[in-house]
Amino acid sequence: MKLTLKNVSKEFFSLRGRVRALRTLDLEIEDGEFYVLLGPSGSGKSTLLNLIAGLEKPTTGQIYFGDQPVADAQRRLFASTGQRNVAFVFQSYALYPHMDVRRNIAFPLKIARWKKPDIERAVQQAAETLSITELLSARPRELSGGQRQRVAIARAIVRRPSLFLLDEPLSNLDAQLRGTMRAELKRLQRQLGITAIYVTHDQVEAMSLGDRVAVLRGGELQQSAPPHELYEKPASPFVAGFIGSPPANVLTATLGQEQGRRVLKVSGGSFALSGEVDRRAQAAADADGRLLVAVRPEHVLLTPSAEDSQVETEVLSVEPLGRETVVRLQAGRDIITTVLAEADFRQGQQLPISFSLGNAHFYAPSPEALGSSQGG
Amino acid sequence: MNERRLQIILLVAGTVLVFAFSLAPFFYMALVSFSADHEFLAHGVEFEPTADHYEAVLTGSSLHFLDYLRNSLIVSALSAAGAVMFSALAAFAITRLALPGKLGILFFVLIVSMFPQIGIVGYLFKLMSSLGWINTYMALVLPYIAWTLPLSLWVLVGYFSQIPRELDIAATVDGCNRWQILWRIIIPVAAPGMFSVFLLAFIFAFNEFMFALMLTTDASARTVPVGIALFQGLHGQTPWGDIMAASVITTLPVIVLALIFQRRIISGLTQGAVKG
Repeated sequence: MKLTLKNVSKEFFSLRGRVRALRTLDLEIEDGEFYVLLGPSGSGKSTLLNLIAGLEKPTTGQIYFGDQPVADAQRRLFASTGQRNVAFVFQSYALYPHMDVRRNIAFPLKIARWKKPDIERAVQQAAETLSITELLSARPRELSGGQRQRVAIARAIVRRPSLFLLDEPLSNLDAQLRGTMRAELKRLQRQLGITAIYVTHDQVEAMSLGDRVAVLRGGELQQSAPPHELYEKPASPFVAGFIGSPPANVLTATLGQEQGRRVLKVSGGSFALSGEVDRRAQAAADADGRLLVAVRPEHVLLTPSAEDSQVETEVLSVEPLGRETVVRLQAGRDIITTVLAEADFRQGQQLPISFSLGNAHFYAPSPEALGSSQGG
Repeated sequence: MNERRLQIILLVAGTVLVFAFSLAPFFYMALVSFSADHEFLAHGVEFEPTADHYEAVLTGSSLHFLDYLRNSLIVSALSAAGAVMFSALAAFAITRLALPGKLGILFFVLIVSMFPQIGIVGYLFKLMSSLGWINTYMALVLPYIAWTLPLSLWVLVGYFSQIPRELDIAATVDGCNRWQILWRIIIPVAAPGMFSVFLLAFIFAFNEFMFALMLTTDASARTVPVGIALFQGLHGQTPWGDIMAASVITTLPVIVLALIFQRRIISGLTQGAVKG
């Protein structure tokens, strides 16, 4: 089922006054798509999921399931969660502790007044799909985290929902299990052909699961694109500084002149600009020549070429990951992360570097983006 | 070494003293109930074991003890059931619905529960008289429900607020309305809390004296505590043996209940106390 959101926004009223949880936003999610909502906490991703589920009413805008409007703020139309036939999987599993697995999975069907034999057949089928048939008579408290999540997913898919909503479903699992469940979720979603919307703050999860990923920040949609596009063409410095492990280095820079050449001054070094890179940098810079540069760790170069000036840095930390090593460098006030094949670095060691500016992205400077760019 | 021995001696002595102090009345009660003469402690009176008092209490129709016991059980069960029902609804509203002034309601209820019982007895008597309910079960059940509601409410609010909100949302997504959420999810999950509330309310109603004294007139509705207090002996004597035998019989079920479910009662009380 296709999902359309038009001009949707959400405001809450709290003791401190009006809180804009979600700025006006348009989204189209295709039938059968695995769509991921990615963002840090407070980005509005869960609010968006709740709006789609019908757990919250939008302050403005319309939501359509297929051609059917399910929420329209102007016409005061609002279909309740029960009427929307959506399934929800929670981070905390939210299994009913007083029911065994069989009754947990059967619960939505029982509420929908299905006939007993039909319920039994559907429960059996869902249990087989998730290979939990031998757990059917166990109580939730007797199950491990992974088993609980399987039961929760079985309960979600058992009545063939038109929309599959997942709110950080893997966050409570250990890293190894998370990998397996991730693969299985994707397989399951393909097999059932249900449109899935998946909320996470983990960009690795988002990139590996999503057909498309929407990056949200402070209630605002930053970019909605396939994973590779997010990585290669981040639409904002925030996206660049959020996607990738480790994410891109977002640095403040200024344009200037040196010995008659146009240069980009960043982290204490100046780099000659020419051609297409020059045009992109000019386009991004403000009147004072200030701009933001996003450089991926793999585009930080250890061997400066002859015509480039270099950036003097000091090694802050070294994290050997086996195949590669993550090295954090201090250059003036900036911290630059790089990924290198070698591992023989010492903390405190001086290391001259350079940037491959052809692969860098340039953005107009914004004070708030500067504040968050050092998280990496 | 000596200091340690002294500690142990003091501890044992203190424990014995506390036990003796609190259990001596019960011991005396049990002894008298089995004694032919209640003044067996007096000089020159022998302790003569007998079961006569129990026989009199359980079979003698003039004392109406079995009627009182039946009244007590029915009144206590109805009151406890009512308290559980109303406090469950109220606790659901307070923990789950968008209700303005929740804390205000909770504290108001708490303050009301501190009013002295005697303060409303007069009004209650007039009310029940005008309703024609004096000497009926309803005359006791309704005040008992009201009287146990604050404690029940606080205990259940503690239980309900510990149930994660995700369960409500999951049930909503699964198609439940609010009523179904309460019946199918909240109440079963909070079953231990419901049970302790039932037990507490039951024991309270079972022990209550003043309302029962004022609002009942004879064996058709009078409960055990009042009934025992009003036991009449031949020639106007106080029938101590019968009174004690009846007291033992009434105390036993409460002790048994409390022993079996002590953990639940305590956890129910503390949960209500800790989580507001």
